[in-house]
Amino acid sequence: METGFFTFLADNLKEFLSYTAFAHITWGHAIMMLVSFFFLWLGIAKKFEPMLLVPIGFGILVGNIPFNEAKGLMLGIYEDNSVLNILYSGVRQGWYPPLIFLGIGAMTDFSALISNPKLVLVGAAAQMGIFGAYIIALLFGFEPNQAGATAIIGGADGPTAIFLSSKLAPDLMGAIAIAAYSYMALVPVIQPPIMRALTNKKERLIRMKPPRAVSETEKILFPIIGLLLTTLLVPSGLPLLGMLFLGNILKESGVTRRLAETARGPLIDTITILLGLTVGASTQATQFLTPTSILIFFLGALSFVIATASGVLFVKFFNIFLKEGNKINPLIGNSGVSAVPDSARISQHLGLEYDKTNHLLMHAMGPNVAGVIGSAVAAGILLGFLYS
Amino acid sequence: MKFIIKVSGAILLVFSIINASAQAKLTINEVMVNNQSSYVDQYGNRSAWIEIYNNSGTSSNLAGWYLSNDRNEPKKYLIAKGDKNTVIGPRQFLVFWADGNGTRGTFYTNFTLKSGVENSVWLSDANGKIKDSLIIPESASLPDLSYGRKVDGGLETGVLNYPTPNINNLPVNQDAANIKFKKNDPFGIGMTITAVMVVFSALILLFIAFKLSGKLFIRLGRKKHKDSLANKGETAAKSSSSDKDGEMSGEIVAAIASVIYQLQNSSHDIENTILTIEKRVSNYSPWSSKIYGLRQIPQVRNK
Repeated sequence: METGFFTFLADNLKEFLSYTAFAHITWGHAIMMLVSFFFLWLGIAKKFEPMLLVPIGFGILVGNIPFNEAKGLMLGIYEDNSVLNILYSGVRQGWYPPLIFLGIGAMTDFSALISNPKLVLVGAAAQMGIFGAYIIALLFGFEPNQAGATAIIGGADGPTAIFLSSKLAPDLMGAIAIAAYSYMALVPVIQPPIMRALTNKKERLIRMKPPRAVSETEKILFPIIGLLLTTLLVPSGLPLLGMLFLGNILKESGVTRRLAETARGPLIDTITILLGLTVGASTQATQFLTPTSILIFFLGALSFVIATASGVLFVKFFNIFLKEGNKINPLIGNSGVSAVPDSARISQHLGLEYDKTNHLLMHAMGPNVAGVIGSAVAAGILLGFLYS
Repeated sequence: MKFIIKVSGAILLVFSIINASAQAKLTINEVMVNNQSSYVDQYGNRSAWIEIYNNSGTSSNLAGWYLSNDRNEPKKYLIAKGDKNTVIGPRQFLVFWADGNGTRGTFYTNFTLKSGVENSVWLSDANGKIKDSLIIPESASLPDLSYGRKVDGGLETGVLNYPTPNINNLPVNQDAANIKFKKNDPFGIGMTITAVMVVFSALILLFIAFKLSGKLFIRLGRKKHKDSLANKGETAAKSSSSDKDGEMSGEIVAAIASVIYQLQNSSHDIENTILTIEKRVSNYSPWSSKIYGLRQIPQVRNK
């Protein structure tokens, strides 16, 4: 009797141990935990995009606590109907990104773009990063849909990358999302050396014409005209562009202040938390650590480099045709990648480094917001062509 | 004015051409007139059948719609309302049996199709408006031949290689786009050229629109300014040269720049001020007071 009881206790203990994370931990989990600590360190200690990197970093930790997957405890993000899986539906089905775009629209002032519309073209040039990476991804043996989903990282737009990959290559979404957000956070590290390498001192000192004042009517008309012109051409960009311009008209109309504040405040914050957590948690080592993920990281970095270089070089090319006094400082070329407002901030910092009175922030915001529109349009094109 | 009319006309023409190629949402996709050894219905019989296809990304309900084999009588067979099975999912099919026995259930029509003659099938909406039709030539009424659209929901019709009730007329490969691009554009050059052109076109359109609207608003602003000056009795000459082209004056720009400069030099996360929390010494506190813990003695009131 007593022996049976102790055997029962021992069995119970043994079974309990089989449920702990220690029984299931692998090298993959340990590596991902280190990645998580790195992200948290970058976000908290280095203050690189903390709003993104802290939830994502913590999400990686949450997603990489190992458990007995065979028992079907409905814990993991990939297990149907688990809590994390339900929260992940916003990423999987692509409805978090449009809500983020609503918030971005409600917090973005497009005045810089409206006052100097030629800066829109800089935003278009920076999208070359996407298509450069698409070509390289194909050379690495990616399928066209996977190449398209990976290349969008070059648009430097996390929500767009998630939206597109959820449609084109859902199996690669975790790696693409992590790469997109990581590189967005690393904009201050990636962009300045490229900008310095591609410009000379004279170009860096170019002073741009101050922008004109923009009337309220123009600001109200912008989201309406912007939506019509872009989505009539690329309707597949509608979920992102529609929400972006809706957010903007809520802001600019002046009569929906509460809605605009909700969109750019509590709503975008809530979605950012959920998006960050679930994207991070989607990097479960058993599903995530593959050579393809590493290749995606490499391609992502490459697309960022191409995008930044294309923007800067396009400005230099554009300047050939512009009159003296109307020239554009090529240091704002990097802002065409749509990491708002980080890439514009880089232009400002670098501009001040060479001339303490040359403030480029206002000018850089033009291509920066054009980049948001451009990357959404590019995503629409890729979706239209490659979605079957 | 003439130019605007011409441009509008051209745009409408382009839209109408693009629109003309748009397909109906619900189509008669495939029909078998003479069923000898093909699809069997729930009663174990073989009869003529009509396949309807939902050529869209949203579900459609056929309840209340009509099927007919006679153009002059489009409301011949009413598809029952209240049957949840009449909902066709996106890119899905529904098969009706044209056995002439309309009492067997929702999917059994009260008309038949005859072999040896030309047949026609008409699909009409709840208002009796014809939405789609298919003319089946006499030659397609040979035993076990099915006639329909070569590609589901497409325009081209003909005798199909083999009957495909409830499945695609042409097998669909889920990776059709991938296969097409791998075959025709293995290095992605075509995609890059097309996509860059489209991105630039979209943003050039924005550029043109805002360049033009900007000019318009500057002109309107100037006019308004002049009018207001005229109303005040001031001469236009007095207006500041800095208002030219609606630009900000140099003073305003300098002020903004100096504010940004000051902000950057003054804003910091760690404050210089030292915040010290000193312990406040107080002998009395309501929390330690016994008065509040004791019952009050009723006071005698002196009248």
